[in-house]
Amino acid sequence: MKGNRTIYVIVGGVMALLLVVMLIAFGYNRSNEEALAKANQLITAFEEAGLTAPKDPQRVADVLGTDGGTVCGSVGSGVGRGIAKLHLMVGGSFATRPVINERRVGTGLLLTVKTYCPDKLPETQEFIDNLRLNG
Amino acid sequence: MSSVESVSDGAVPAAGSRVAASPNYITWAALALMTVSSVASLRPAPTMAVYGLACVFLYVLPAIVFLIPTALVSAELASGWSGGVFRWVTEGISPRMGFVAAWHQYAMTIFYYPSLLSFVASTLAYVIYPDLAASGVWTAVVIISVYWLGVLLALRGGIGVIAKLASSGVLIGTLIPGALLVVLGITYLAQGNPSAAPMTADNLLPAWNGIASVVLIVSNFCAYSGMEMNAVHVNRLKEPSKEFPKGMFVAMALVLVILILPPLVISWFIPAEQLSLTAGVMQAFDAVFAYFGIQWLTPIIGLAIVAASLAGFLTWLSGPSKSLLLVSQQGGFMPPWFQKTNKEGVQVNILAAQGIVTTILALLFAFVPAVSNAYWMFMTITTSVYLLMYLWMFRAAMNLRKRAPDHPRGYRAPALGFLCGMGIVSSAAAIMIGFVPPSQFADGNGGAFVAIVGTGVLLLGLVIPLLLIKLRKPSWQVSTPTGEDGAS
Repeated sequence: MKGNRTIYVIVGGVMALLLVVMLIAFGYNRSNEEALAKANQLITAFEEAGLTAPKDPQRVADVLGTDGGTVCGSVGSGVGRGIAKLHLMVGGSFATRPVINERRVGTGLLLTVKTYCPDKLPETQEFIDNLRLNG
Repeated sequence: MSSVESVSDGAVPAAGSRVAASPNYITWAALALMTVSSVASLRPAPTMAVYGLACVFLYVLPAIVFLIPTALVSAELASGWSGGVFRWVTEGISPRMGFVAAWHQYAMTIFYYPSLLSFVASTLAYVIYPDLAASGVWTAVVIISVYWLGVLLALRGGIGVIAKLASSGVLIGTLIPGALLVVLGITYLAQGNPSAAPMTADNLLPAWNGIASVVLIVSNFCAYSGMEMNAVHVNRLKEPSKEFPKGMFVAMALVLVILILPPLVISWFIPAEQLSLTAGVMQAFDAVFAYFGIQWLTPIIGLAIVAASLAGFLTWLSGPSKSLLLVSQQGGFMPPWFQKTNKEGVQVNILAAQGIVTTILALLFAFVPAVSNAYWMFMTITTSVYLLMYLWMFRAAMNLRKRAPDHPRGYRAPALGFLCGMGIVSSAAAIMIGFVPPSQFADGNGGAFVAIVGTGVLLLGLVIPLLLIKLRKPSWQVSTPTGEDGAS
């Protein structure tokens, strides 16, 4: 049907436009000397806390860069913490349920914030303290 | 006898003898993919990756006790009675319970859209500008604009367009990225790299942490909720009695693969402690791509994951609201204004009313910290209400086997009584476990949590549907119940 073809063309066009924006806006080169130094700092913090640390600082630098990326982006706001609480649920695509999560994941988040965005540590600490964690 | 009870037997048309006058056929493969997009996605993969090898057990056990009963029983019901859950419960229990079941299915979607679309917002933020993840304005704009664009698509294209977009979305955004992740994971291990999570037999079962372990295991039953939802579109198949069961079996296999393998692979690459509570599946993909030096793929996969989420959104937009429309038209449970459909047979006013509610919820979620902080609780309550629907569905299936053993069915589930019994016990257990305070409820006051969830379940699951039944007027019944899903 012609009408449906128009719909598919519009949907395809919007997705293509979004892809172009995403390809342009994405931060490809997040690793530099500072990012590597912070990655090493994070790995040391993980080891000192008795957590399983990432092995390769380069990979950590590639993902978290110098600013911690979305990890730091999310923790500073009410909606970010609301979404984080939704991430703490298990299930499928549709139905999800909250569970009693493991403390080590909360500790990992705290150490990441401490390394990359220490200014957001107080509210992150408060967020973690207000979670009932296991272990 | 009520008006609904006086209908024809509502049998699914035999092969090649379609009754509904619909121009929009969908294929069984599209229906299977719609079911996959309704149930499975890569979104929960990082959360489950924390449990390493045990995530296999955490998905397989619920599959045995909940997915198999749900899929087989709904395949039998859909191959015998058109119209979906409301029709099955109407025929198997009573018309009023049919409405209640349709309401229980629909109620979940009220709070679902802001949650799902906030994930779309945070996925886009990860790629475009990470600080946007904390922006209420960004979150609200994405939720509201995507919702209304989805409604526009549903209104203009009908189920035919939704089916094509949803099946394309799940293929592009779930199956292909999932397969890519598995290939990269196998390559990673084949290169001699050690898995970040131990993969020995000792780790097959989750560590025993008392009630936390019980909550974890039983909560995951609901991972498979929604397998039956697309049965409301059964009459859009050319040979419903044969094609629906076929679609259901394919969907069941795909759902299992999609839910189990990606978290397992993520746990090979990333230590549990590094899986951030805030960055989700995008960070997991980014880390895997970083290892192989192909981070240029991250924005492409980001868009693909957004496409899959939109596919899931579109299927949920068109399913339960359609079910509510049918039960309202045939039983007169809602005022005629809500029963209006367009020329494509799409429930215009139900979607519009739902859109207003979604818009308000999105604004509250984005700008009122108390609401965003408590949103997980709304999801807990509505999931419990959704699970109630399964109690009625399994009960109806047992009754229909007894009362109408010779009713033509394209598929008969083996050991139906046992399957229904197992389904009822699993659903009841999942509802009960929803009353245990989770991580998000730091208060620790179990009584308060039970009171909040219990009140929510009572209000949404009992008071509202009973009120609608009480207020129902015979003049609100605008169509003769035929079991078909044609437009009014």
